[in-house]
Amino acid sequence: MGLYKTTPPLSGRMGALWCLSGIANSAVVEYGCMGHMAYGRTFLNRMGAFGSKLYSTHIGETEIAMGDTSRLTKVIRQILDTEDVKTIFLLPSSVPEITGIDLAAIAQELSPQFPDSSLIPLSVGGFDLCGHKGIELTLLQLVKTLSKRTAPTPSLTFNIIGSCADMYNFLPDAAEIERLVSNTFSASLLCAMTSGTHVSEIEAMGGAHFNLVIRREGEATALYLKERFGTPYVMARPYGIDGTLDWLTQLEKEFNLPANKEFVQQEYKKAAEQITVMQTIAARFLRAHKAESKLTLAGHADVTSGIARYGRSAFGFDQTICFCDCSCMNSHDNPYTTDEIKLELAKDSKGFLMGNDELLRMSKRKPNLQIASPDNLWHHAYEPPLVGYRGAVHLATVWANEIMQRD
Amino acid sequence: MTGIKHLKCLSAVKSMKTIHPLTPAAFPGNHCPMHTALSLGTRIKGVSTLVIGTSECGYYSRNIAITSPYADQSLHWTYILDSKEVVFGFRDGIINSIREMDAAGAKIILLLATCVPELIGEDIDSICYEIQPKIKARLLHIPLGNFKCGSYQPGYWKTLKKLGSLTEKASIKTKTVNILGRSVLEEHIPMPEIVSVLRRNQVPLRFLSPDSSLEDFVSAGDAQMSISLSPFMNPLAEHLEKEHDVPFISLHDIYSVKEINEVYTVLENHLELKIIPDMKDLKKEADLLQTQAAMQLKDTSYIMANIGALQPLPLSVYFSELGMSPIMIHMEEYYPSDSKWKESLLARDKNPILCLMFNEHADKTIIQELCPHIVIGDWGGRNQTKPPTLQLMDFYGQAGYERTISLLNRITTIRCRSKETDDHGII
Repeated sequence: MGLYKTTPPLSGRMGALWCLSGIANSAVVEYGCMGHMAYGRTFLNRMGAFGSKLYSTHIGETEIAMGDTSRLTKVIRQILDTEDVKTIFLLPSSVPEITGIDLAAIAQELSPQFPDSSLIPLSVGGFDLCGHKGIELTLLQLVKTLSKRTAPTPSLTFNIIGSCADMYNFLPDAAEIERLVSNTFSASLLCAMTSGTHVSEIEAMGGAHFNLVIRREGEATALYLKERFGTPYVMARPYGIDGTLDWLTQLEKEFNLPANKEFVQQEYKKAAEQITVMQTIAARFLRAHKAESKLTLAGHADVTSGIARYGRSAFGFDQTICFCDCSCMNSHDNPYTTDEIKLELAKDSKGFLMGNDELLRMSKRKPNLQIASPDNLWHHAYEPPLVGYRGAVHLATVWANEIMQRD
Repeated sequence: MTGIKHLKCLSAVKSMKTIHPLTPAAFPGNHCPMHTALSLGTRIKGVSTLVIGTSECGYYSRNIAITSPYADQSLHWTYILDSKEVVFGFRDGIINSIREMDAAGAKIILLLATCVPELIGEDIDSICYEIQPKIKARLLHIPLGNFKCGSYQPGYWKTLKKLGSLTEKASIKTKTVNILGRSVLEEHIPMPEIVSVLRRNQVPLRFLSPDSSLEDFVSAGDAQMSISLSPFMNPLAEHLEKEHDVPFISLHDIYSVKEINEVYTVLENHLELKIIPDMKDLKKEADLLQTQAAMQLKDTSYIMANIGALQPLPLSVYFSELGMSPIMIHMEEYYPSDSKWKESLLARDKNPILCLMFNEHADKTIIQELCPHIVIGDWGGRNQTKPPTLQLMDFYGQAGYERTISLLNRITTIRCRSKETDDHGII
């Protein structure tokens, strides 16, 4: 950690909270100072995450000094008395982490008092855990704790793993993936983990016929489900028209499923038709303005690499440069976006830059170029996706409009 | 009803430590004092900030820094503690960060220490003392542990008081009057009439608030007087009085016609101006309304919820003068002046329950079960007719007869309407 001139990275605790925020019929209780949750809830609501009820106990000096955790018991009791909730996640907070409050032991001790409910302590309190690790561990903990042994559903079903609030546009992206898979394979979504989902859907995840992992943090969960229920999985995010077609073909092969070719081709044709003129405009512009033929992407490593491929192959950007937003994902092709890199990117007015809200503000670019969090504007589930056929058309439009401004 | 036995009455309260949440679960709760300190710091021209804490503190608060109107003139950075620093301290890291900010041109750095640095007890004051002679930037450490307070308000008053330490000794007093708690840029809220009267009399005014410049704070010691329009400003006003012989009057916490008249008389004498004649019509109107209100509001019970930037106890004292009775008061900060207001209320045989309301939905049920005639301030039942709500959030930065007139007009209208519906059995 240390000094940050721009937005610092997420903590594991934040990753866990963001991951849990989309689970309806559950509550998250942060045992700690309430300022975190006051911020966190607004932040999550802004990003369109509604589901879990997010509470804080708040704590004072006396509780810290005496190790008094009675506030937590009272909060749990209030929630169970007043809300239709049976699952409560206990989220660690920075101050109790330092004073050594053992949430697991407290949950165990309190369980007999609340026999009809599940108190689930989360083990992501450490000061070394990054946000993405927090998401990975929380996804895994959710299936380990909640998913029940069950037979495969009679009709074809699937899960989406990794649609969490930290991914910009997570709700529209999950909706597009569901639309494509449902129509291509006549399958129904069992659980979108964890956007717009429900505790009972996570419990039933084992009944799915295949799992779609849409970010690397979800792979451990998919592996667990594969081991426990034998559910096969594919890990990929479909970007671009050809990328989406390839992804659907991969699902067809991996899961040995009959695909609705007519739907797939129709969608392909429709999307390709819509972007053709924009591709021509882009090709002309990028040929004439060589210095602009650069697409820089800063965000989640799985997002930036996918959009970069699409930009290169379908729009002919000479140069695509990717930066990831987590030091754990740092690689040669996708180096971590340090403050220095962000400041450099902000200074460079040439080319196309897509990133988070802060980076776009710093570089005086338009908000529709956003592909990453943090986000300081309000968003909703009905915005256009970035993935799939519809996402490909949307990205093409964003680039074409950017060209119109520059030409 | 959910129990309220855990709550204390006013007579038993001496500080925030004995004021407890009405219901246990904060949903979502209030902002922490770092939020308000940062939002204030980022709105004062020439001030840089360094938030010291965890990722939560630095990440979520970033939207304040990036929307600062003076972002190009100052630095708003964060220092995030890692697992080693949480155990062994962050002295070296913070010193290097301060040096880097200094080298980058920061003039004043507010070191906003959040919960974890406060808890582990790193001695930031001694770090400042040690490094201050070696750098150009002036360091101001503001301790803002959320666990030490009930709400966000210390973030405002601590920051303002600390900025007061920058005020330079003035060898010559000027005719300037410091207006504490309002900005000239706040056009959406009417300026108090007293400010207009001073302007008409060509008294130079210095507004100390968000959107002031650093220079305004530095030169505030040359004023002949300060007028405080906000409870957040009183600690700064007291500091200016003690250290710079700038007397102050507090206008935000008086409502009765008699008290306002007394304060205007003090102001008139001190500034050697004619103020009272300009206020004659307003005073007359307020006087008449106050007499009528005392008849209409007698025995009206109320619960005071979120009243924003107003101080609850002085307002309750005024309501008691009108014959009203407080059942329960939401109180986010216990200011030193509250001891005086407490005595005043107790002397009138009013001893309300004090609490913190952090959960609109759950608190609403209890408020309704306590059956007040009126709820004053914002609460979960704001759209209900029974009990009706008296909204006061827009009284931020207002004072004087005109605020009292507005207050009395609103409350008597609401009370009369609710009496009518009560009488006719209509809800």
